[in-house]
Amino acid sequence: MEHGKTVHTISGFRTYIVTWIALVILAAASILVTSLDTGAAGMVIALVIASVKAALILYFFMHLRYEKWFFRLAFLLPIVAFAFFISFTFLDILYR
Amino acid sequence: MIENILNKAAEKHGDYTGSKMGMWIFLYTEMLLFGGMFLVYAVYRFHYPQEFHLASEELDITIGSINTLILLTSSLTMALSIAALQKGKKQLSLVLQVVTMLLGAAFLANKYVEWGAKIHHGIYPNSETLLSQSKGSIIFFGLYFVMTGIHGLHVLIGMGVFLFMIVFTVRGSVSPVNIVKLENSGLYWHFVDIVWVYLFPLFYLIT
Repeated sequence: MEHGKTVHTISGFRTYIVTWIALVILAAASILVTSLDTGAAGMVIALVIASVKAALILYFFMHLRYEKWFFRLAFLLPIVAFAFFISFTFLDILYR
Repeated sequence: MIENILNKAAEKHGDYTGSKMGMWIFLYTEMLLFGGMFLVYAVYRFHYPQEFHLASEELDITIGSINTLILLTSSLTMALSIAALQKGKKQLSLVLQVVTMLLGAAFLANKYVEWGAKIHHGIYPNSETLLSQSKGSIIFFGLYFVMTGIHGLHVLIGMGVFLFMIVFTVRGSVSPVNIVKLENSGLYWHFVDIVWVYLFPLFYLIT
């Protein structure tokens, strides 16, 4: 790494604007889906859409696509921890 | 004399990767803070599906949708303000930072109206109206006020951070060659946006 200098890849404005348009469309899609299907399917689809939105924000807005492999990999840590919490809590609730 | 030069060099050098790493680690802890609350939500939604269904229908999807649009747009202006400064467009970056802060204020104003309406109808933690409802409904609104409240607090803190960034940018201590403070503020703001991305469907859309 060079000292005293911060070298970044600079995104153009257009990338961000396209990302924003995608996010707004996805938000509208989740509103539409949950108004059509109020059951479990609607719930799952809405959460999948939310996760796609979160991934877009992380990848483009939060620059994970430019980051070193370490930052991308380390991000899995809290996700895996949370997945553990969720799964073990529900194992407890379902089979107590 | 030589010490002066060394001090100046150390000041200018900084540690770009270290700063970023620190911010990401902080955000991991934030993920688990909100994650814990999402876990509680999931457990009680599982226990009281019918009550959660009825209670969530009382929330205003229009206000929630407007706030979603506001926060997504503020994330855009935040990202653009960093890109603008990287390209050396200081004025544009400042305008975009101010816009981001104002969008944060708009989000909170909306939240104020929304909470105000609920409180006006007697629905707030420990209120008589709420306590007379079913247990699932009490838990739903408890979670609603705590989770959107802590999220709103994060928005407020983010606005405070932008105030500093605007001053730093004007003074030049945040500049194209030393931009990590602004980038880390951006990471925080986008994280707050991601939390809302999940809060919106869980409270307003899924019934």
